[in-house]
Amino acid sequence: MRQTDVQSAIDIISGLAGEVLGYLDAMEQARGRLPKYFPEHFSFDAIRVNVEVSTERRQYTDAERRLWE
Amino acid sequence: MAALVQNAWEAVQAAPLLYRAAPDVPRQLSQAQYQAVLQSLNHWPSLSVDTLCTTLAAQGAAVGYVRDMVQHLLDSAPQPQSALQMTVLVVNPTSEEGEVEKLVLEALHGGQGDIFPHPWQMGSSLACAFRKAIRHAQSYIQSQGLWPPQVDVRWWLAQWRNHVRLRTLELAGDSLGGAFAAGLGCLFERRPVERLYAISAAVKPDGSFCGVGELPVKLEAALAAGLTQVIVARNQDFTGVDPERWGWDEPETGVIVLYRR
Repeated sequence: MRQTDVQSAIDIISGLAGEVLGYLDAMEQARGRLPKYFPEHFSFDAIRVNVEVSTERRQYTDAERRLWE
Repeated sequence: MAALVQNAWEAVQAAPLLYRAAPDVPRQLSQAQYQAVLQSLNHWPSLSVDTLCTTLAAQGAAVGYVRDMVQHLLDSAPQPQSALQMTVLVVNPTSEEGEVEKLVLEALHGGQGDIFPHPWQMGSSLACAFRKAIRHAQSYIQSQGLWPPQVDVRWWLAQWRNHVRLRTLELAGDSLGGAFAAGLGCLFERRPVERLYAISAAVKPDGSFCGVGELPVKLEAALAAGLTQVIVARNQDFTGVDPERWGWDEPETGVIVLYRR
């Protein structure tokens, strides 16, 4: 859509600082349009990681690999 | 309080210069409504100005100007929530020379989307073309959704260099319309304004600029003040503009930018 004369004048009289602010405003709006990757109730703080250490050395078996296919 | 409000209201209706400055205010309230308000004030003398204005607003009247003036008379003028200063070019009607001045726009919360002059300049003469230019600027900004709800704008003019306010104005043309529109946009979008840039153009309600008269004398004043750029309309008449002192760019957008050489 073509910019109106008033919008053009605003961009000019705002100078470089106005141009930067306009860019940041546009980026903020674009950021607001990004899809949400996680549900509303999701929280990274709720993630608990358990690490189990085993001293038993395991050997590769082709039969076990096929179980994961 | 009631007497003071009555005096203020009668001042609005009586003073011809003030009436010209705010023609919509007295017309929006019928005489019967006005009398009803005065009777209310007589019954409840402690009625505050805010309550009075709320009552008037409920009747459909634009009360921002009256409220501001009464509070100014009571020495309790509201402080603006935000303000902006624009450099503007005008022609002195007496000397017919150009002048550089400062247009101050102030956002007042608790309003009705109105725009009116500061009570400091209540004795000014604002011609029909000038008032129409302000209305066009207001219409455009409101149509773009930039004007926040319940906000009035109060404006006044000051000397450019020392910020001393001008007491009375005699504004006849529409060449400040572009400055009003761009200034309102910057005020509400919180954009900064370059002090050495000016706009000299009329504005239509669709946001397009139109050429104005007496540009050469305004540019003389702009040169003397040290301004670097003046924005004008694409259909501006450049007769009398010295090309050795002013060059111009025609960006892809609709306006023309004059810059001092």
